[in-house]
Amino acid sequence: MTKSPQHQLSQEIIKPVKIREIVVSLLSTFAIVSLVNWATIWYLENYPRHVSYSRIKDKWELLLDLEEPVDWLILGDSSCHQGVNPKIIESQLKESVLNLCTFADSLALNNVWMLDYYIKKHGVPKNVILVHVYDVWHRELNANVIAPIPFRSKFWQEMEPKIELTEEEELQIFLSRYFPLYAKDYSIKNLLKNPTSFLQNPKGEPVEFATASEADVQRVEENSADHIRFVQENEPELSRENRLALEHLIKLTKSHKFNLYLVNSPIYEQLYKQKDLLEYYQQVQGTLSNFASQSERIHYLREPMLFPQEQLENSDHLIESGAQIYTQELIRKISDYQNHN
Amino acid sequence: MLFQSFVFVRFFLLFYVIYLLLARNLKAQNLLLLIASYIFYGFWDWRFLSLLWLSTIIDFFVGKFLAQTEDIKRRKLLLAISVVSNLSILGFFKYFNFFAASLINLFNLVGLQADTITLNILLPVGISFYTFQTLSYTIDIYRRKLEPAKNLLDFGVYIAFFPQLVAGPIERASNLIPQVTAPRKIKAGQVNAGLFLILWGYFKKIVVADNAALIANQVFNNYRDYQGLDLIIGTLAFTLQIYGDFSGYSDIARGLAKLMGFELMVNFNLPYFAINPSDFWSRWHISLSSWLRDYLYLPLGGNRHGKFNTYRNLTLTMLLGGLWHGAAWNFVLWGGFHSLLLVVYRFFELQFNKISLWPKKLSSLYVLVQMLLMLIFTNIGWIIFRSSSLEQISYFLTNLGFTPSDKSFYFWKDLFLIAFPLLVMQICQYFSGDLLIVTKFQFWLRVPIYSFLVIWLIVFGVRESVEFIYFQF
Repeated sequence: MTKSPQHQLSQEIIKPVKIREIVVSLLSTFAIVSLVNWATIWYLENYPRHVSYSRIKDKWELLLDLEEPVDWLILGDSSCHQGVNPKIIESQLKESVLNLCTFADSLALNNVWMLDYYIKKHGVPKNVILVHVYDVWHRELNANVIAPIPFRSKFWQEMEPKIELTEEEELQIFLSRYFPLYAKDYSIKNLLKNPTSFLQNPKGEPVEFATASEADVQRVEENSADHIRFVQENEPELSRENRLALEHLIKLTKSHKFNLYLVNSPIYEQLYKQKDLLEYYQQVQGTLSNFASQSERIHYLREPMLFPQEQLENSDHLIESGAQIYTQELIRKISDYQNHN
Repeated sequence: MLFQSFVFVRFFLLFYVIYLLLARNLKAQNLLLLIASYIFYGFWDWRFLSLLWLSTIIDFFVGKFLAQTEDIKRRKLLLAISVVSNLSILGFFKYFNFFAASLINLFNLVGLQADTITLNILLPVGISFYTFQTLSYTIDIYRRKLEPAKNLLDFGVYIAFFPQLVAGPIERASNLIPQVTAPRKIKAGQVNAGLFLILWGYFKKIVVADNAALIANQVFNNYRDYQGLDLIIGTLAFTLQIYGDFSGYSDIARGLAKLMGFELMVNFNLPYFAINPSDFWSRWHISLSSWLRDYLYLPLGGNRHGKFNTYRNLTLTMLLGGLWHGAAWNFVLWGGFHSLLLVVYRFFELQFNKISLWPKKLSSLYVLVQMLLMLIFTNIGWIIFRSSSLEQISYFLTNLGFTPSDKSFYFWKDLFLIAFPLLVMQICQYFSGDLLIVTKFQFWLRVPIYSFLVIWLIVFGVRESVEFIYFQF
């Protein structure tokens, strides 16, 4: 058929160019992509899309900026970030507190690095509380959680305990720090899919403690079901990095003679009643008791505190009223323990 | 070795440095090209190299003897050796199980009991592509349209040229062998175009096809969970996937070839801008459709012996073209569907031509309507192509609609982010009539476009290496 003037097969017409033109185009493209990458670094610093990773950096900044030693150093995961309110401890005990809890994937390892750093800078702490969810202990190192720790490259070889990372993990950390276009592609994709969220949630001052104000009953139940599936499919194990961390804790408490209270996170009461979970939980308790028994300064508060779903955001993260109860109960338990020993 | 793997990138960079160092020695360069091609192919499964070598040796000597003899019987015999040996290898590796199973089903249908015979046969990657390529060589020599390759090295490079070995374009010896034997001069313009084609090809594969596949697979693999608009979106996603996947591969292959100083044929020319079935096949997988035209449709008689014979020839060609894509009935059905479109179009061609004589403004509108209509038919074809049963095809065709679900909006959003840049680029290519139009844009526009494509590749590129669909053909 007769085609309209513009409807023809397109041609491939090669334009004569000079090599210089190609090189300039390549370099300019590289420069623009680099510029966008640096803009992305700046943006994600100021509008963090992954709260947990930015919390690691925040808490390290709190520690680095700390000028005076504190009486109570609180370490742990996000259940502790949402569960242990330092203001309550300060007002009840009239002692200074610093909550450095981050999130579960940073493992006990990050906490022990923080403790080690604190001791080197401020000397021996009076009391240390370490709070972890039962399912932290099997977790292995995720190199992405190392990236936000604000030290120069390869710092993990100078920290105590030292760890060795594979070349791939080191590359992952490098990309996460300096090439977010690649490493944080999920955040950027989500941002491009929801451009209205571009200027939402700017980074504020680092906070020690933050929690939800309203319970989320549905999430508690869904999260509990996930936990049941997890314990049914997995055997309790202690990952290499967590073992290193616990061994270093034993060494630190023995050499510096300070008390460390190893505490279980809060947990949804109905979940704790489940047989499969209880079996798994008891084995974790056994492992932690074994470690605690190797240092007379490590005190393991074996029994977890149980909460109804009305005080929870998910199966182990408390809302404000729950955190108040948890913190007060924690103070009471530690006081009881101190009084009896 | 997939084009989008780091192994390939390292392989190519190493190869290219040595290739450039050997620029003054054509023979050494060709030898390097041949070794690199065999390494590239052997990375999938080194055992299948023997099949490639077998085809190469048979056709090289058949070509040589064909050129030496004038005896018609002998020439026919030589051609038969080439055709039978190549098609036997292809038939055994690709179609044995399909025909065995189909035969048994047929026996069962007429009440005869037959035992199942299936062999655990692995499909050698790219076998359909290089078989057609090597067949065109001997047939062209038989037709006295081509002189045979002077030595096995040149012929080996023609068959195994790694950029296009496993998924085309299916090159003709008359185009590629002269480029293998002539001293190579890589021009800056060629490198410029090659780099653009590589970037654009990767974009089409990793951003468009692999992301569209996530939606298409979800909808097609769980089609009973979807209705209305979601089925349309799933179909459009597959339409994007198969185009991005295959034309992306072709662009990368052609771009790499340009960097080496070779020119391969354009394999896709904006096929979704086609205005009728005939136009579609002059734009989609051009190297295959022209091969089928020259070596099947025209020898069958083409359109020279009346309408009925033309329709028959078209149907046979398209059915075999469908079967070329894979050993399954849905591919045959897809070929049948396209042959129907071509036959109906041919039948009403005169009427269509009258409409195109309308005033210019209306004529442009008519072109647009035709494009949309052809796109709808193409999509129906892809439903047949992608479905695994008649029941699935029927479900899609009877449940397509415009009623959205909760997921529709998210599907659209995902599809939009990857398809919009493709659409804009292709509109530019279409209206300028130049597939390389971007390379001619002013610096201030060209470089941001390159940067955008690179950024999209980094951010939206699917990281897990997804095989190219056409490797299975």
